[in-house]
Parts: sequence; structure tokens; C-alpha cells
Amino acid sequence: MKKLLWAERQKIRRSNIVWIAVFATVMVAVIVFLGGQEVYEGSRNIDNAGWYMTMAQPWATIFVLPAVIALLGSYMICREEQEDTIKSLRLIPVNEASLTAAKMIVTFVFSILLYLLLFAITFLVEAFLHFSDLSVEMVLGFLKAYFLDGFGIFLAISPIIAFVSRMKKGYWLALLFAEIYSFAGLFMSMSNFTKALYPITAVFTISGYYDASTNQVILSCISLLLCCYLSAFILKGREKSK
Amino acid sequence: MNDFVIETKQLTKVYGEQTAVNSVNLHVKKGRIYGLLGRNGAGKTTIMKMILGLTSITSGEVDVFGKNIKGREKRVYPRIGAIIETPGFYPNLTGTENLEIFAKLRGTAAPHAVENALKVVGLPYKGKKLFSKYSLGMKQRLGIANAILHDPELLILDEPTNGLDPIGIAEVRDFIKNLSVERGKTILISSHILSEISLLADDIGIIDHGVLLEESSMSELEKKNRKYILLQVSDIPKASLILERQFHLKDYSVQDDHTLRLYDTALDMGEINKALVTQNITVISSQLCNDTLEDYFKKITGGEGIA
Repeated sequence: MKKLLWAERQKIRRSNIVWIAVFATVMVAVIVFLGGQEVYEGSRNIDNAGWYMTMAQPWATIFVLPAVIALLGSYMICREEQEDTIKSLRLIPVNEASLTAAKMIVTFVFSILLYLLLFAITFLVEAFLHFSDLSVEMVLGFLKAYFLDGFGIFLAISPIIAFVSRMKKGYWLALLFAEIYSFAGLFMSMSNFTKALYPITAVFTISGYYDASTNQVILSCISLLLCCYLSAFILKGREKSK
Repeated sequence: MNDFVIETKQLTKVYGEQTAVNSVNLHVKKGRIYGLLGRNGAGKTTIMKMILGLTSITSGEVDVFGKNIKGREKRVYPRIGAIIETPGFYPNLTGTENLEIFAKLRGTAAPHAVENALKVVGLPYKGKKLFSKYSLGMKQRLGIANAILHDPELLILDEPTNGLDPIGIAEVRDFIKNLSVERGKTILISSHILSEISLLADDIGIIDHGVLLEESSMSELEKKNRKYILLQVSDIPKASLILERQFHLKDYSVQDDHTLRLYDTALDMGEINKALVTQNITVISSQLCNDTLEDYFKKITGGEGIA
């Protein structure tokens, strides 16, 4: 597994999709920053300590990051077939289940890193604007929330990565499916039950973005674990179908 | 225990209604170059894929290194290097970076394995050019480098000179020959180019429409295709006796009930005709013939020639 993880890291060097994902993360930070220029009760939103770090989470999660993470994950899996490298890997031979697992682990790490990048941008901007208003407790709280967002979003979108990999119709479909899936979170967040159940919004329940009861947190954990199980089931079926 | 590195028995592959490979019995001997010759679509790649376990076998058997391959026999893979169709690599990486990945995943222990493999095929080590910018010839060379990276005993090369320029073809040919002669590698190579196979192979298999029409050593094939005198007579046993006793001839073959091939073309045909007629053997015809390998290919495939 160590070799496979090393190989996966090598394979995404100079990959455009990685830069697309980084660019999308920076762009969502810029858009939220511009949204923060709106004046509310005599002051700009962005001038309120914690506003930027709070608002970047749902904006990034509902509109951008799940799609780019799903794109990256399915690209990593689908490219072996599309670039015909799977033939050479099979002749080594490489265990395909381990290969897929390595790709999922890299996607998982990437998901966390993207959220941490977003955290770093929002924190630096907040520190630049009003450093004295930020407390260590607040910053660490946001750091934890972003980390859990990255963790949870990977679990939430993992069935899409698995499904698109199985379809073999091109990894760009993952972007489309994940975008629809994450955007639907906007409507699911309107009820306390559905927001804890729907995987995308369940992430917020766990990360602490929503004030949630213990029951809601448990429901959200179950929802995300089911996603994890579903993706494992789909990927297992994919291996069998080969 | 035979000395075949690869042996197929009634190997068959059916895609839907179409039989791509039909009851092929292939025998690749240790330390020799076996050339699988056939037109595009004849079934060469499918045979190689079945040997490597890259496609399922409809019926029949494949033995590699004496082991029966059922599905993907992973134990034999480290002993094989292969290039099938166009070699696939990661376009965003350089040739060296691509090979380093495969070397690491293979667990290639030899130091400088990547550097040596690239040197053999004439590609630069640590070159900056990405695989996506490679020409077809460079891609093919990198595929060969990947196949020899782990110093395998058996090489399975599917049209390895595809896309190479004439100098590149000659270089690859020499290098393949050296692998067999100097390092004792067994090589199964496919091509639709007859001249390439004739210059390289020790043994040859001619395949057409999924059927292996002929399998013999190159020397036997050359013997069949060398200059000869075609002699048609009324009584073959009697004529043979005269040729052997009177003219001390041994290098000849009987083709059918009335036809002989005499491979010593320096014979005095006048004297032979006279001797046969004296013994009441009717000489129907006698002529000097010279079949080329292409003529032979045409003859056995019953169709057009090959490049």
C-alpha cells in the first residue's frame, strides 16, 4: 500500500485537475470575500470577526468543493482505463482493489487539504483585517470544523466517485453529479431532520457549523457511514465485473 | 517436461458471433525468437492478450513456463515483459518518471534499472519532455523500456516497431536480436511486416483469420522457399532411386505422387532427364523455381501478400 500511495502521489504531478481544484478553492474564497463587502447594520460583514471563516464553509461546500473533489477522485480511477495504463499495471501485477483503495485515500487527503487551504486563506484574511478580534479558541474551532468538513465531504461524495468509476463514461460526469448533489443540500438544510440526514449537510452537523442535538449528530454519522459503505459496495461490484 | 516457454492448446477466442482466434496450437521454445506473422486483424494481439491473461479464453489452454494459465496467473508475471498494442503511460509525467513508477510497483531491485532500460532504447534519462509530447516512435521505445525494466526471461512484444522510422526499426531489431542471442531471452513478437519477421525470428507462426496456418522454424521455411528444380515424373519411387544411386542426390523432397523438388540447382538436368527416360520414367516437366517468403505467405493464406 505504501508503494501504491507513493505512485498515486507521483501520478498527479503537474496534473491540471489539481490546479483546477486549487484555483476553485481560491475563487470561492474570493467570491465570499466580495460578498462580505455588503454593509449590514452599519458595518461590512467581512469586518465581523469569524464571519469570513464561517461563511466560506457553506459556500464552498454547496457550490464548489464536493464537485472538484469528486472530479479528482474519479479522474484518478478512470484515467488508468482511459490512458491504457491499467494494462501495464495488471501485468506487474498490481492488486486492483488496493490500487482503488490507494486512490480513494489520496482523494481523502486531498479533500482535507483543500478545506485546510480554504481555512488558511480565510484565516489569513481575517488576521489581516482584525487580528486582535480573533481568539485562539475561535481559530482552533474553525480549524477543527474545516478539517471535519474535508473529512465528511469525502465520505459524502465517495459513492459518486465509485459510481462514475464503474460507469466508465468519463470522469467529468462526477463533476456534474456532485454539483447537483451538493446544490440539493441547500434545500435539504430547510428541515432539521433532512439536514442531519442528507450527507452534504450532515457534514455541517458533525463539523459544528450547525447547532445540532446529539441525535442529529448520530443520524449524520450514520448517514456518512452509509455513504462509505455504499461506495465500498459499488467499488467491490466494479472489481467483480472485471 | 518440454522446453516450450509458451504452449497453447486449441486456444480459441470468440467475441459474440465472431471467432477471433480459432484452435491455435502455438509453441514458443526457450531462448528463441518466435515471430507471429499475420495481417492486421488476423488475431495476433488477441493471442498475446490471452497468453498474458488480459482477456479471457473462450476455450483451450495456455501453458507459460510449464504452468497452466487459468485467468490471470500472477506468479508468472514477474518473469514476463510485455508490450501490447500502443503502450499506455501517464501523459503528465516524463519518461523517466513513468518508468520509476512501474519500477517501484514491480519492486525492481536493480540499481539504475530505469537508466539502463532507457539507455538501451535510446531515450534520455531524466529528460524533461513529458510523455504527452512524445512522438509515436518515442512512445513505442518507452514501452519497450518498460517491458525490459525488470530483466524478464520472456518478452511478449506486439508490433514493437509500430511508428518507428527505418533507423529506429533497425535499432530495435538489433536490440531484440541481442536480447535473444546474448542474454538468452525468449521472445514472442508479432508483426504484419514480413521482412521484419524474416530478419528477426528463429521460428515463425503464420496466422490468418484467427487460424494458425503454419508453424515452423525459419530455416525450414527458407528451405521451402529456396531455389529448387521442380521435377514432375510418372513414377516417384523409381525416380528417387535413380537420383540417389546414380546422382548421389540426398537434398530433395517429394511433394506429391508426381512431383519432386531438387534443391541442388547445379545439377545437369539433361543428364537426369536422359537417365530417367532410359529407365522408362516419363518426365512431364522440369523447371527452375524460386519462391520468396511472400509467395509462400500468399500461397498458404490463399490471398494477397503482406507488407
